[in-house]
Amino acid sequence: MATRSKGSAAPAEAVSDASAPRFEEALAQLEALVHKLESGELDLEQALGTFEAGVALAKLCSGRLEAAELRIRKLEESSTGPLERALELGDDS
Amino acid sequence: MREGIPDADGVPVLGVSELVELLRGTLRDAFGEVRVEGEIASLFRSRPGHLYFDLKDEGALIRSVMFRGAASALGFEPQDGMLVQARGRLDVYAERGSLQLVLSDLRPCGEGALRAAFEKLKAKLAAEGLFDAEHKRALPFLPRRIGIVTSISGAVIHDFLRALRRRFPATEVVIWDARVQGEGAWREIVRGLHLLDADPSIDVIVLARGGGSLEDLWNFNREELVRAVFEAHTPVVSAIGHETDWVLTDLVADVRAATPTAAAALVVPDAAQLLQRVDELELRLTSRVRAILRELAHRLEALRRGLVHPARRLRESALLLRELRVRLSAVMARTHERARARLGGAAGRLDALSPLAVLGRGYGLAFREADGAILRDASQAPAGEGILVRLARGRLRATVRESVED
Repeated sequence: MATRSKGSAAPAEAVSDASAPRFEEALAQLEALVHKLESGELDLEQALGTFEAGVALAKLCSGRLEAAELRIRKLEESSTGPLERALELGDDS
Repeated sequence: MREGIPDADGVPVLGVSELVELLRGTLRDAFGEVRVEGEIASLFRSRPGHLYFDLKDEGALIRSVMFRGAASALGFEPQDGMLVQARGRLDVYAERGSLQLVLSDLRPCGEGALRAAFEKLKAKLAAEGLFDAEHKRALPFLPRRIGIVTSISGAVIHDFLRALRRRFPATEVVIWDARVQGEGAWREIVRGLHLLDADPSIDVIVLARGGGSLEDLWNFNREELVRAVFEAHTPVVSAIGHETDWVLTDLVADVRAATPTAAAALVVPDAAQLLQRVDELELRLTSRVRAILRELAHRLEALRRGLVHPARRLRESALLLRELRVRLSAVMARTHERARARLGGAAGRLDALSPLAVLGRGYGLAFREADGAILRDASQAPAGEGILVRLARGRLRATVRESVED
């Protein structure tokens, strides 16, 4: 039977926001915080801490969603290996 | 040996081997490599893996052979009745003296043959498990970078980018420009797939091409490409042709998209919808914290009301004490008054009962002087006894002259 490697073990390097949690993780954390705040018996300090963490995550999420334009790059072969260069490809087709 | 022994007519006489050898050289020189299109018939696969068959059309037939090396590299299973385009050289099979084509490559042509080849390869790869659902991987929720293998000059890339811009503009696309049809295009596609797969920042790879005939799409049925998709570490979306066109990369890919636009919708989430979700969550956070603060403020207020400084409590106690005292003395005064009033009344009544009051009506009380005993019997005071008689006003001291018993 054929086998195939499962999932990508790709490290998060080479990306601008490598240290930040991935969007879906941030969103899941945000949801968990909202549920905790809505259902949990938190003292004031915990509630405020949860709130602050939640707001920071919300900011992170919406920042990720609102970020700039679609970036387009073209991959090419070169003598030193594959090379990327920016590409202008408009919407006009 | 080339120059045989001439007979009487001057024509050289050749050995059979010589003749065949001459024929071979002539054929090679005259034809070189040929391309022939025809139908496969009488196919036979020898035990070592060589293929023997006839290539024919309506009027002619030529014996063909494809040796193991070339035969094993075929991307499909040749079959009787299949229309193929063959490439090879003409030769003579010396032991039988027959003409044959020695083929280096063979590819199906014509819709029917392609369809048959497609089904054959599909069955083979399916049997190997390449299309099994257990090998399908989920696409990332939000890819950091998207790799796409397609032709940069086609409409497909524009459709894809337009859909991305509309749905989730905050992303990055890396394009590998490849021919997507024609001889050997699959090699460029496989190369791009490998390069994109090797980039760890690329979270998903899309293979895209517009619609076309089965022949146009044939590169996406190429076994090498299908296996490359299977072996990729990065999840792959196959968006080849239209809704109704199915190619083998569609089957082996983790997800198949009917169109390039659909592929864009599959690889990125809807940013507007997500933004709304995030906003809603943030709103819930804020309103919940407000509610908590409001509730705490209420509790605090309640507590503050219950919390009193000891000095104030002492002052309050003193006040209370004074008030109590005032009330107490008022009560006592009233009680006293009432008691006095009652006492007054009682004294009046008592007065009425007093024996002294009787004296006023003319009675007198007699006591023995010696001991003060009230005299109720004459015998108590014999003659000569000193007695005291009390009258309503004043008293009399007397001596009994005579004591008379009744």
